[in-house]
Amino acid sequence: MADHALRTQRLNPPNKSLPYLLTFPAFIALIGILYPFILGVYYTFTNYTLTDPGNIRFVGLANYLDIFRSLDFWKAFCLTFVFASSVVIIELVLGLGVALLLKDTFPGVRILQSFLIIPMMIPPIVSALMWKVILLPTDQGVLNRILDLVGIEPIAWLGDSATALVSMILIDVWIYSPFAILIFLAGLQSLPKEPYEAARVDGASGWFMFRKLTLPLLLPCIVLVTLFRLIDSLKVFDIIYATTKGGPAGATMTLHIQSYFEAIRWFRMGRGMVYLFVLWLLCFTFSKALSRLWTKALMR
Amino acid sequence: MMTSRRFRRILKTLGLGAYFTFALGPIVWIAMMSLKNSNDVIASPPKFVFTPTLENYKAIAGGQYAHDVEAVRPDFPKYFLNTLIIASATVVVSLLLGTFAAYSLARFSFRFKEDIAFTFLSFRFAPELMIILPLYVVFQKIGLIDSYSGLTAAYQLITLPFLIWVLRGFFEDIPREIEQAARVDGYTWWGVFRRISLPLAKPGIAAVVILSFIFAWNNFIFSMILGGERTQTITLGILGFIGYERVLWGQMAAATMICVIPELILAFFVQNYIVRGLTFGAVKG
Repeated sequence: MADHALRTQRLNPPNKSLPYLLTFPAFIALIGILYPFILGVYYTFTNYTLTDPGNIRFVGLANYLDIFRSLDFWKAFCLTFVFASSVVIIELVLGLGVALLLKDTFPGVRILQSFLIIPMMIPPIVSALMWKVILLPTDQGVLNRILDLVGIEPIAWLGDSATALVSMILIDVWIYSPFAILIFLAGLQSLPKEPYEAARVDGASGWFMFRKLTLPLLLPCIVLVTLFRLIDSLKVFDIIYATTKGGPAGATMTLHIQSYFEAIRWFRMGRGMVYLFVLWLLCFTFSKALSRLWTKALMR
Repeated sequence: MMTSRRFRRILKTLGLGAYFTFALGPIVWIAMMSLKNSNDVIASPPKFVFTPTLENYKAIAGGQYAHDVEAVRPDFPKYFLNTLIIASATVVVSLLLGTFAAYSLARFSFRFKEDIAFTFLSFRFAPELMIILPLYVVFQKIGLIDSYSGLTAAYQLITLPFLIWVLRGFFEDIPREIEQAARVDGYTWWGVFRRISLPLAKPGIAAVVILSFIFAWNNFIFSMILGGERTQTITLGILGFIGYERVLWGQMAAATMICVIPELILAFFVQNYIVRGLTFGAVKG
């Protein structure tokens, strides 16, 4: 991303205004995105309710103070982090593991690699619905049926507040671990050969080479997977909406879902936008920090 | 030495077998469900062996008024058509707006360039509702809710930043010497762009178009907030098979298959570009 500037020396434009002219339509589109964004930030300081749109009053920080004092907010905040960090860790480990198994050529490896894109290309909402069927409680669900064969009692999965978040993590891992696998595969295939040959001559063990060579060399990939997966899982929406809608008893009520309920279901646009602004701040900070880290890792 | 190598191979096969069972199992199961009749599909415990039937596909192909058992059923053909219209229009508009921007970001240097590019990128990482909810208020005022043009405009948020960033990378991949040589030969920048850059970037453009189409097709949250009865898309409509009063598992499964199969076929054509696309061009893959 940021290496563009370093890599290419550019042609001088034939006349000074041409580049602006060419970017202009996209620039207009950008305004179209920025305007609602700023409007949204403004709403956080008002009592805007969808049922009474004629009566917008500036209320200062009242929404913020109210929300920061509520238990629901902090519960959603923690839940969002628990979900995001769990999926990032699982997907990193699983992604690297499967990529290591897929990196050498063997008969059928191309086919397996092309299977990887299937879960990612299905609309997340549809994947979530598929899993909802698979995770049906009692022995109605096929997963419980399979677990029954190895002697595990039926689990309520999405229906129980103790297992709902775990089910959500399972669904997210199913959809997005191929993303991690593909990035790690690309990274593994572009590793330099020489350090490995030198290490082998010195009699280094496989584990030693993995720890001292592969992991450090893969650092840019690790940061990149973390960047994309962390941000996308902080703002997870589709898969929760399709399955539990935040339930049961708030067990999967993340910030994004809660903002939807505040703004659309309970018409409290001002409060909903506060949730979203906090979430946006989190996403922005993490994406900024991680993309900087990524550029740094690339330069090393 | 030999036994340890064989042992490793067995472990590797087991690992890959386990992962791909996990990755493909659900799709196989849904495909099976879509071929079950209405009794088999709700059988408890679930049936692994059954006589396949196409009745679910026939039912959803008939749309709202096929058969007479259910009073209102999800109008699947309409959702399919809506999604096709909105996703295609979105990609066309993005391509028109974005190609020139991508080229100029790749080739020319000008003030605020990186700021413009990074602002675009930052919306890839913003929570969607942060933009859509205020947009909903604006759309309501100017009457764009539940309209194809409104949704096409809003969907630009999904496809335009993506298209600009990835295409920019493809234009940068073209050796500058080729373009410079053409300029020396007396081509204008437009001539260079049309005769040289555009044809050379063609495979990349094709991949970006297909991926943008898939992203637009897959989107849910935009059409949920900004759409309505008239413009209902597949991702929204498919939820209608699981309602409060009844659950049409078989038809839901059939709808899922029809929604997913065209996309998977498209995706296989561009699989060499997938990594590049999904990382906004960060990994050339």
